[in-house]
Amino acid sequence: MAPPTRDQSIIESFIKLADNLVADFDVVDLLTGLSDRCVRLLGISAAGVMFSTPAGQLRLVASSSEAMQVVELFELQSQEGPCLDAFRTGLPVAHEVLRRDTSRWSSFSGVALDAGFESVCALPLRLRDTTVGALNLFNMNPTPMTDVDLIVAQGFADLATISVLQHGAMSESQRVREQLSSALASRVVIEQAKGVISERAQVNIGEAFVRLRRYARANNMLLSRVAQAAIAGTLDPAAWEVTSEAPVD
Amino acid sequence: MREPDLANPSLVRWFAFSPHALELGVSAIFGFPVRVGAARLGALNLYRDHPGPLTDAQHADGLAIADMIALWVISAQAAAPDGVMALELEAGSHFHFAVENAAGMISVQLGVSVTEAHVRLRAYAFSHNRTLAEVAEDVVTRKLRLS
Repeated sequence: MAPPTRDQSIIESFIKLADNLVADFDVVDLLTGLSDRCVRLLGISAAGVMFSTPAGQLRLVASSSEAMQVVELFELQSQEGPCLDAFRTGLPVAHEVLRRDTSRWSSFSGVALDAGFESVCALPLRLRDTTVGALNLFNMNPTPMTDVDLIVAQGFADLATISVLQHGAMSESQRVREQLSSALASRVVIEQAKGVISERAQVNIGEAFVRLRRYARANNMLLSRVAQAAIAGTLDPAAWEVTSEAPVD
Repeated sequence: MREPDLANPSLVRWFAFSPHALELGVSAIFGFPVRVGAARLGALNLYRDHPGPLTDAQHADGLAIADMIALWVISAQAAAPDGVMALELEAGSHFHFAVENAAGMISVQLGVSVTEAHVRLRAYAFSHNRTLAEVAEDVVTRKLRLS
């Protein structure tokens, strides 16, 4: 059987993400998967989703890469960068080639270029009249995405927005704020769990996340539950041992 | 707590704080505990640019506002997961994942709760005059191990 075409892969991705949205799901887990799919299907180097805190600050919820450099790039974007612009204006920051000698995002550009990225793009996560965050795409080459790619990217951005509205009435702004806060708080729990697993299994933080996700998959548990159990010490430590090389997603 | 005349205090204290406060134009300071029953959550500090006591009405308002703040803090934190500070309560603009990773590691290394691990991290950073983020990075990269 021939491998799937890109169109088939895109359709399959949307269906799978939509399926997750109607079931009991973990926002951080879903958005990590969404970020991974963006990278694979859009032919880019890294992707990440940022949500707004109640105070209007942008924070990373999930990304395609756990590398410290990439995480740092998202941390910087709470102060400056394409995500912040997209979030504040509610408009896409279309393909931008990064340069060092620039007044636009001078700190962010330098760090991004040092990390090997040459161009960026950010799409606002729009919900009716408000923007709740942004989807950030990084590329290691300066080539802009095609128009079709941008449509697909917008589709992913919309899915990321929808993931914020779990159940019930979608029109309550209070519910949206609660969901955003809840997603960001569950990210914090996951970061703490990564530290716990890193120490217990004596692996680096990135590998700790891989094991966390793998355990959740293998035991059909929500990522956030596994993270909480890891912190509480109620999970079998043997869980952190590498038992199979199966890919996480 | 009250100090209605920071420049001529009834009780000489706050050797590190008072000179700076006076420089900034603070002449009086009043503190109201923020608490729920016996649980003390923090303090509401009021600053004034001219000396003099609070009126009875102002004092009563301060007590009432401190109570309201306590109730709001409790309800905001009640909605957050264990060991995580409710986002609404965070004042800092710089969030670092490494701080959370480090807290997780320290909780295992020292056999303490994640909350306690955060306290130890902060205490180390403060006593060594380094930023929380820097210390956290060293813990995560295993250059530093708290004891």
